[in-house]
Order: sequence, then structure tokens, then C-alpha cells
Amino acid sequence: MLALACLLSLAPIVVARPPAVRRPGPDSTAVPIELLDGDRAVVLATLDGRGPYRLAVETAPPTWCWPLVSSASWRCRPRA
Amino acid sequence: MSGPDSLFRLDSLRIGDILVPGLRVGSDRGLAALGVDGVLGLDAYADLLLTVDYPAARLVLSRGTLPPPDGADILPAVRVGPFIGVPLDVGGVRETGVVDTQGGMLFQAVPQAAERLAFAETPRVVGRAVVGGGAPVEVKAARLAGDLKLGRHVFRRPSIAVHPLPPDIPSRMTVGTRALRHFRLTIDQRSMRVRLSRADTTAIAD
Repeated sequence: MLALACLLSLAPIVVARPPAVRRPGPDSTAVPIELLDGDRAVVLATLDGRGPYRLAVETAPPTWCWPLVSSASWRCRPRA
Repeated sequence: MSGPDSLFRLDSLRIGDILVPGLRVGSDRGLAALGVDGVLGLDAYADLLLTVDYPAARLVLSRGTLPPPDGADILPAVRVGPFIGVPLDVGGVRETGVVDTQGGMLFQAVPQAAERLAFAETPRVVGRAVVGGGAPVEVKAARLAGDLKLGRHVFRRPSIAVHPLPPDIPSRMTVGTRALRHFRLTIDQRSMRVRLSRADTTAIAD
């Protein structure tokens, strides 16, 4: 059990911070979370209007893992 | 178009009513074993207050900032490499613990940090673990001789897992989800503050 717990911790670094510009929007939102294995938070999110997808809430560097990204219909763009 | 560790850019990420535009994301099929569609990293809420309310099973994203640290519920945070750490009093030894919302342990220390700690017994091997995709490592664990304090919150003689971490993970100690689940955790990356609030003021025995 502990081995699995450690396996799930501190994922590898993949992504750099974007030069994002935040658009005006609501000041707050509250959504339910699923607690995987009792305490690993997972939230539902939409990505480019698609979904919802189940995303783990991580406090590590940005790491996103999708087999979906390889889909030809996915709207993500290759790195600029 | 993609492959392991490919980078892409999303037009939008929406959680509830909050929209995060222009987020760069990576693709790593090796992480699909986590049982989720993706992993939401610190960048997604870099300009927001992220609250994971474990007792209420709720996530709150909001704009604003946490009040200044009070040493009780609100703690100063530091960057530990790309991670976020908070001050720990580990049986009287000051350490920094990386907050890990996907690490299923209570507390973890690397061997060098564990050497400074007073355990109730000699740490013994409890298993093996793979961390960050590295080679399996031996995991030892033992109960601390004293208490661990996170601000005003006290963990009564907690068990500490002891194992090395890969070189790209520079933390000495980790605060895992078995510890965090007792709290309403708020992370303010802009002011580098972390709030851990809990209605129950009694010591945590886990």
C-alpha cells in the first residue's frame, strides 16, 4: 500500500508556465471532489469545451497525461 | 502530433465557473496508470487560491489572497525546487515539508533528514516504492519519538516513511494526503502562503 502511495506522489516535470492572460470572470467556484483511495483529490473539468474529464489535483509541477491528446480530433496545438 | 512528454496549449480549462485560458499542458501516457484522465498541476491555479476541503470533499477556486502568516493556521510557504513547502516542527527539529496532494503517505523523509530525527524505534523496512518513475527504492518507517507540528496542528507521534527521492525532487520531507485529509487546505502561490484549518483542535493520532 505504501509503495503504491509513493508511486503516486511527486510526478515528473513536464510543462513550463504559460504567458497566460486571465480573463475577467467569477471570483469563486466550489465543486465536489472525488477522493481516490480515500484522500487523493480528483475534480471534473472541461478542456477546450470538451469533457468532463477527471483530473487529479496535484501540487507538483504541471504534469498532464492524456492518451486523448494524441487524438486527431483534439484541439491542442503543438508547442509554439 | 504527440508522444510522450509532448507539449500542447489548451484554449481553456474550466472547473465550475472558473476559466483558465492558455494553459500549456504535457502528454505523458505513462501516467495513465494513475486512474485519471490527467493531472492538474500548480500552473493551473497559479493566480488563484486553491482550496482542497477534504472533510467536505469539495474544491474551491477563488480570486484573492490569504492573510499574512500567523504561525497557527496560516504558514509561510517556500519553493522547494518546483514544489511548495511549509515549515514543520518534527519532534523539535525544524524541517520543510513539501505539500503533496497526490502522495498517499502520512509524512516522508529522505534518509539524510531522517538522521536528524528521534524515532521511537529503529526504522524498519516496510516495502519498496517507485517515485517519479525512478528505480524502486526500499522504504523504511518508524514512529517519531515526539510530536510533529504543522503550525498549531499537532500529530501525535506520527509514523514517518523514510526513503530517498530522485535527484530532480529536492525535498527533504513530504506532507502526504494522509496528513492533509484532516484539513481544509488553501494554497496561495502569489503570496506564497498556505492555510491549514481544522475545526477539531485535538492532536491527530494516525
